Amino acid sequence: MGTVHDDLSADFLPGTLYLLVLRALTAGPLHGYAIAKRIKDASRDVLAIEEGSLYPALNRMLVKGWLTAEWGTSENNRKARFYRMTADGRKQLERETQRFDRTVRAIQMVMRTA
Amino acid sequence: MMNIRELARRARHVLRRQSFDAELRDEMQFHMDMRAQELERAGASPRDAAEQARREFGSAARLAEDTGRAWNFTWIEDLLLDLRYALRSARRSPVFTLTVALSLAIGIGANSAVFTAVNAVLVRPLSVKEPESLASLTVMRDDREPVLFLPLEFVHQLESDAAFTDIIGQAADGLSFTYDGRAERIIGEAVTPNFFAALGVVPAVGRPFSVGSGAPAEAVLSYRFWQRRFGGDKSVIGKTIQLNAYPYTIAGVSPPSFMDLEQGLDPEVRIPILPRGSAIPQLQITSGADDARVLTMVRVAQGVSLAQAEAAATARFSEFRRTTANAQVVRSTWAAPKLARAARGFTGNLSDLRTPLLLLLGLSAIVFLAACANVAGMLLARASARRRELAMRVSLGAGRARIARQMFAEAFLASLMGGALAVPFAYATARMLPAFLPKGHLNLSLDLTPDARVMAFTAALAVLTGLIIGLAPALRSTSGNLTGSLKAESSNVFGDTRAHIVRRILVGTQVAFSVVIVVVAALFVRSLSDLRPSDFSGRTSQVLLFTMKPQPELYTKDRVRAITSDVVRRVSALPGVTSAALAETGPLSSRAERTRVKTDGHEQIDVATDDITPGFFETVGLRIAQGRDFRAGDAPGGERVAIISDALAKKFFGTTNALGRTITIPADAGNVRSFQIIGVAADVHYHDLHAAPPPIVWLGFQDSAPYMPTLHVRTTNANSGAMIAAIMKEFDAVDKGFPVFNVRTLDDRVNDALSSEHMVSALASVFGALVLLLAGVGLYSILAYAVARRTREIGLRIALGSSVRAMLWAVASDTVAVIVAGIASGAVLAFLGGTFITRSFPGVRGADALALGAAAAATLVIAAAAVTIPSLRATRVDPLLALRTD
Repeated sequence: MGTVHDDLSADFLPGTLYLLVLRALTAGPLHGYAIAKRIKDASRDVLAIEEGSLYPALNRMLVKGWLTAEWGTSENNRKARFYRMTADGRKQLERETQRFDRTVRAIQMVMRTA
Repeated sequence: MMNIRELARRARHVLRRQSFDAELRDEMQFHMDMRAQELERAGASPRDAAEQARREFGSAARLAEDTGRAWNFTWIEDLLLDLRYALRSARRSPVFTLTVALSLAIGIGANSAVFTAVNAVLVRPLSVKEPESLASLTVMRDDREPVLFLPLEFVHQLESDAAFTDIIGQAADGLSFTYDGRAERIIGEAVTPNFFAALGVVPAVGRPFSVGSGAPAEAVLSYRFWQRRFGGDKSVIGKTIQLNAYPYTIAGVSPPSFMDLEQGLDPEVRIPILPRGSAIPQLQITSGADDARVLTMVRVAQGVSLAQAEAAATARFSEFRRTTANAQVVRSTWAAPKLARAARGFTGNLSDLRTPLLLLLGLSAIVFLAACANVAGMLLARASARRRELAMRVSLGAGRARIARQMFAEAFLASLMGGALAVPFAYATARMLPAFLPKGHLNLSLDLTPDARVMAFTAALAVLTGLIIGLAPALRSTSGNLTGSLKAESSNVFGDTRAHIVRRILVGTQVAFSVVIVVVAALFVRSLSDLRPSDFSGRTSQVLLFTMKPQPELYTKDRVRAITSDVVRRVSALPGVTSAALAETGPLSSRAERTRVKTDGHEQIDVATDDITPGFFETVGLRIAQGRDFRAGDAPGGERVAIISDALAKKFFGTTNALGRTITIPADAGNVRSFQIIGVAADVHYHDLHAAPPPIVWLGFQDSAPYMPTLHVRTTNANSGAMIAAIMKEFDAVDKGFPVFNVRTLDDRVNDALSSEHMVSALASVFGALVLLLAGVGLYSILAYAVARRTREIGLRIALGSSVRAMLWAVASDTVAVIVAGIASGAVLAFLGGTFITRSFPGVRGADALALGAAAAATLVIAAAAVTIPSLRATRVDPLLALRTD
């Protein structure tokens, strides 16, 4: 692994963006802006999700049935589109989390020993 | 991996695309506003905040496109785009497009047509409820010959067995049908009363007949009979018809999709078998007597295997054999019941069609491959011609895969057009097929309406076609140095040789396929004359045949003897009639009778037999080699006499004189009858034209009255229509109460006996002509292409003083090797095919020098014509013009 950039691409491992989005939605439905913000805040500004990849990804997840979307009212009283994780999405999150943990552990092992 | 739910979500998206776009705009606006708000909170001015938020957001259009793509069926949309493009280029060259589409229509249509028949005869299940659970029930004799018609007593005993849900019995016979006017012969079928309910066959009009004792006599008409005889008039329901002079009320009309459990049969009327023990004297087939016999179909219960069901039937059968009072069964050698899956019903009637149909299927596959080779060659040529265009597209950024897909799209468009054109072609060809079904006392019929399976077959074939013909151009366009083509001139003499070689191979293949099909056609055409018997002297087309059926329920034997001899006498006296006689079956009849004959010092043998009246041999043109014909004195009660065929005389008596010797024939109840031989007739193919003439015994109706005799009439009048009318008038004068049917000539019977050969030779000839045409088109186009490609070279040669003849040769020699190689390999294939054909079709000779030579000659003529036109065009190239063209 090289140096960590400020705007590290969320897709440095395939499928990571999906994982992050699903993780962000575990607490409840959020709109797109809030999803990006939550990831950014939680990563202490390391992971900045570009809009150009966030919205296509959200839609691909809708197609796959991991998310549903509905219009609601935002905290500042505006009409916003809220994404909610489905049961399928939760299963996907578990799968992806396990896979991700394994991968990270493996990489750490390589970094420590090799 | 796209599952169904995902597909459904994508599909829903297509429907709400408009609102999706608007919603996405709203969502993006919301996102930017939120970001702007955040920046404002951090201290930016509202203006700067909005500006920065928009800048950070990037291209909204790009995002919208990427987001939308998440939902799209990308490949389908690309395919539509490709097809649109293909359609545009197809419209640009209509002649090319039409040639391609017609070639494929021939290839696909030939297959669809043959498959329509194969489907109807060998594939399609009965149009009844759950045909897969139906099984035919027969009883095997000791000698493994099956008994098809089983006694009702046994059938009834099976009804209580849990292994079967339904037991369906049927028995068909010719009946006299009267509604108005003269009795007509129809096929009536008596069925067990559960017939319609058990098969789930719902009448198209009216209802099935009522079930239960005391129900009125009701009949259900077949759909086609109802159309033909009653013009499809719905008000016939409730009207009365007479079957063998017994009144029935029309209850309903069966649906057009259902003909019969017996393949090839479409009985005009169905009537119920009577309750156990009762019978109508006029209508034997409806008898509910214990020893009445029916063809039996069972429906095996769910969860019961065929073997289990057969075991159950076997147990019932042992019980039945032990307890029955039916003397015939007790004496018989019946061994064990046999169940066979019968989703297609009883298939015996059409089993002769199997081999010819499979052969035709093979031939049509060759036609298909030839058509594909032809079109692949043409597409390849065009792909080569379009290399500059393709190279241009590649240099403008199109991927090679994209180009290959475009080639496939064009191939698919062509195959779709071909498939669409093939459907009417298939309909027309399939309509020809029933003409080849032999006609006789049963009129075999087939439902040759192309059904969903035929359509699916055609569609699958069209897709396969697209794959095959698209492959070569697609490979071509993705391999090699396309950009080189941009620089090269289109008229380069040395350009593109590899594609040219592939095209030559494709054309050579077509030539070879043409030879194969033309040879097969030739073999069968020749077999028609080989197999045509020379046994019958005079014109067989002037021997008229009329079959009579005075129902035994209505006419006593004496009465039948009286009216039939009356008919013979009156018809013999007609002007234009040379002679007339009866035969119970006659030569090449659809019925055949056999008996066992014995003479002193010889084993009993199985022979063909027939009952005839005096004058029969003269009438049909057979010769009595020794002795005499029957005469009026050889009557019932007199001394029993017989005429035997030469084959039987040789077998029994060798070279010694057969006249005056005695043969014995078994009669009822273990008795035998002795006959004195009064004549020996020349050998004749009495039943089968494919085998050697059998041993035959002719008797003179001394012990039996005519049952369903055929009147044979030799006329001097070539106008058979007028003769038939005159003879029918004599029938009417004698008695109108019995039907006269199956009016034909002896020539018709000869043709019927060769119906398989007629069918194959007609279709193979058509296929052969089409494939030759395709090969001609292929040769023509390869050569025309070569000439166009070499216009400069040709121009130069002419300018340098080359002679016309040398020029012709230079151009044509290109194809001579292709033609020669094609003919040679085709001849080898045809020779091998010929050995297969001689094995499967007795009487068809294999591919010899004559057949191969004829096919090669036909192919050469077509090839020469195809080569000459472009070659001549080459000689007319204007050197100045040619040298100036790019």
